[in-house]
Amino acid sequence: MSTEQFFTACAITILLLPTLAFLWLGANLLIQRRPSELMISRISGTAQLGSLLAAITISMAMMFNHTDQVVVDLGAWFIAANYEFEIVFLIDRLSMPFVLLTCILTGIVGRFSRSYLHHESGYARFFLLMLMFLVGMLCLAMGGTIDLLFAGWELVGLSSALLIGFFQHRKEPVLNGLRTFAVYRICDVGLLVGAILLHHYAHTAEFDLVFTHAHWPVGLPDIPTAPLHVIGLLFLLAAMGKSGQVPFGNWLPRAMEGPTPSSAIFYGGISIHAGAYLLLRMSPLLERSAITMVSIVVIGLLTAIYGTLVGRVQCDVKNQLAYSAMAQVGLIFVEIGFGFHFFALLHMGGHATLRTLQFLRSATVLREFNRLKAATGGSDLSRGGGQYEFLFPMRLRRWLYTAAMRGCDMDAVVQSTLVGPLMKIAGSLERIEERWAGNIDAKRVEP
Amino acid sequence: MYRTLEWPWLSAFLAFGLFCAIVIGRGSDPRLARKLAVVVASLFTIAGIVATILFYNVMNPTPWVDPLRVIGFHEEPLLAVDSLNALLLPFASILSLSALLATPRALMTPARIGIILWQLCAVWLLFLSEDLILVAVAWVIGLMPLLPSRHTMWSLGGHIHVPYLVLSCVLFIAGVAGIIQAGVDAQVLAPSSLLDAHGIEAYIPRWVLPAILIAVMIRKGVFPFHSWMPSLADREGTSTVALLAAPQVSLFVLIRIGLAIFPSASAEAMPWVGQIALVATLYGAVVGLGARDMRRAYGWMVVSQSSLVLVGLECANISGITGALVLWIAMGLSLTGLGLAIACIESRVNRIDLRKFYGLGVQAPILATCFLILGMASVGLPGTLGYVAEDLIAHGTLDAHPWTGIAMILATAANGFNVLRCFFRIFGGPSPEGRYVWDLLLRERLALVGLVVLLIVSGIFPGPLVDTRTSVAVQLVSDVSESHAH
Repeated sequence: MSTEQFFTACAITILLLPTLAFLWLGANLLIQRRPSELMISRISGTAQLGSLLAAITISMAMMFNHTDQVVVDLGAWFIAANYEFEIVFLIDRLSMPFVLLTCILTGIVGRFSRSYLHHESGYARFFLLMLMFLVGMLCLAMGGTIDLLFAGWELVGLSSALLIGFFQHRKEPVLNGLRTFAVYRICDVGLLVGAILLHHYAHTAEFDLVFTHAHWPVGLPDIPTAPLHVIGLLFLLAAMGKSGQVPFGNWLPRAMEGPTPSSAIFYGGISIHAGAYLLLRMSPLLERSAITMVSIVVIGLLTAIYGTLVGRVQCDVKNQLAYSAMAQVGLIFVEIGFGFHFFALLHMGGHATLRTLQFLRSATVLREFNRLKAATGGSDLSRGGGQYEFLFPMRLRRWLYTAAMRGCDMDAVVQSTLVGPLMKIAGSLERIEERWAGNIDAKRVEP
Repeated sequence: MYRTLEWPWLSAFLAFGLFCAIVIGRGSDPRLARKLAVVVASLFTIAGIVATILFYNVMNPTPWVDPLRVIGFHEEPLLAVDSLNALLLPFASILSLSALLATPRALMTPARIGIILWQLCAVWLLFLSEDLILVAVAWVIGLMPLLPSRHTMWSLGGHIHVPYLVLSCVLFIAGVAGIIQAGVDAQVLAPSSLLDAHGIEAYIPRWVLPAILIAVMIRKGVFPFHSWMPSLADREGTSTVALLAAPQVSLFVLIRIGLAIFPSASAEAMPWVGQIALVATLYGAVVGLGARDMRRAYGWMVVSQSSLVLVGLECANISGITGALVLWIAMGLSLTGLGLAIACIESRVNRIDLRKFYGLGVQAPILATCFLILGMASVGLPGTLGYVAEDLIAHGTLDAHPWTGIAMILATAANGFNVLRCFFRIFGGPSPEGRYVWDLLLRERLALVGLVVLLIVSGIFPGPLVDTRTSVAVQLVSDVSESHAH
């Protein structure tokens, strides 16, 4: 077996195993056969472990061969005359750490969920959506073309919205899932338009060719300056949505309505870093647009400040963690904006691991807290914070506190400037159409 | 060049279908009628699949024609299978078969079952016709079940579709008459034959193409002729709209007549049609967000997504046109499935008000899964055929007109949100207390799960389908270029 064949086999294995597990579970549920909890967790665990082993094998092989980048080209998925949708995986110093992180954290969360969701009616649905998320995330991370990355991006978005609405018997999770999906859809427009403009100007969708065969994080895309700015800002819009950056960040606390393991893997571990990953992947292109780089830094800084401020007044542990995650991802954006790629990657790995742990522990934190309290002789452990606040005058502190309690009215701003007017226009047009079609009369005789 | 079949298989099959439609429609036992109709539709599906396989693997690429001729009429073929319609025959049959299986029992009177078969035959006739008179006949008989009856003739309240559809029939017949008259003026041997109509563009009066285009736009529900579509969904239910809109006969007519007979004028008119269709795509997507009733929301989805096919067709490059032709199939399968899923839900909980939560997800998980996959496939869910189509169209339109592409993406995003909004409203929220809602019955499952599987399999392995559609797109582009050269 040649080296090329070896890498191809490993790359296919990474993606194929979770896909097969997803299809198996999906097909079973579709024909009304419900496998046992043990069977579900074993099969999904085996798929995750298989992917992880393949990812470790590739990483080791790359390390021993002193290879920075491998392009695995599986050929065209479909061809329409001069347009080809290529299935290309890009295995490099950016994608492999992300793939490893994804496989490890998803595996841990899968194992945790086996006990945590035991006897939960949506047990199979949870694993199905988690496998869908894993497939999407691996596609996103290993995708060697912007089209493949977009396909993964969409699967991650849909699985995220569905998992937020996991507890479907209550209205709030469902509404919050819908709200999150709305933000995703708005920001996904940025990715899709950016992807197609990239294809248009670079005449290829393959990252390897766009960046003229240079290895990440170096690359010299041959794209004129004006479209470069537009493409950069569009990718930033997409990253802002997925990574919960200001002003789109308020879906993140809403997403806490989902089960704790999904919060851990999506909003603590992997999904929230997808936007940062996109920026890192496109960094050779973004760095040629000063406007985009400055915008990334500004948005990252604003998000870090916002997340810190609002997170400090949250009384719910998951919300507090969500805002902390938002702030940390804001800092990762700042690092990317300043061009510290490897530092940002390291930060991402560390943050994802810690935050996943914190989210998984959040379910037992109260018990732990009481145990600690008892162990320390009942001393008051609830007092926290207050490290820097005394530096500000009382009036400013009160104002900041009020603003933080109200989430800086970010939701209201998005609602009143974007969602509200759109829904109002839609509603008015629909009423006009109903009147025109004479349906008001028709409705009176409806059964 | 074409190859003539030894036996009149096509005409015999159509005659058999029409006979069955009339006999079954006049029956009195709805259960027996459904069973018989399912058998007939299955025969049509098998015949369509066999015809497609034979066409692409054995006869390729020569069109084969039916030997039937009418005494005293011209000697040109009347029915033919070619690269454009070969794949559409099983496609239309699968849609009708799914409707026969999944439409709720309460709606399935023998008359209604007969209408579904009748419409299937009309669609087949229109797809196979090589004669303008037959195309016009098929156009009208396909709409006959929705045209005015004694009860609806003078009352348009809630029947807004009637004047629209009558107008489309009148305009289409007038347009066809104009073409035939031009053929007579040009001294063509068979003035009504599509095979002889090439090269008569110079003789055709200027009003004919606009008349046909408006007829097509009305039947497709393109802005500003769209209002009847959500209204019809509201009045007659989503399965009726699905069967009327999903086969996209108007698009077929546009390609067969518009682009073939008027290559030059169509090339000039298509950008306008495309821009209007783009407005319809965006308008339908936005207004759909404001719909309070599931049926109307579905009607708006149909308006928006079916107009998208026209947008792809307009971009005049191969990837865009191929995308439009693939979307034709993807949208047909997904929106028909979605319409049938809505009908299934309504048979369980009555009409769906999108301001309420119905909480059906717990009791009907398979219905929920089918609804979600079918709905999302219509807006390009990765892993389904919809994704392939949207990808091709997006590349095609952005290559041709970047702003058109961006507007199209915005519309798709809004439609995607609308699908999830409907999904969460129907399947999310507290479960209905004291009400038992059953999941899909076996026949419903066969139809809906079948459509889901079809969309996923063709989405994972889109190669053969895209190849067949690419060959049609290449032919269309070369025809238009040739006419420009002349």
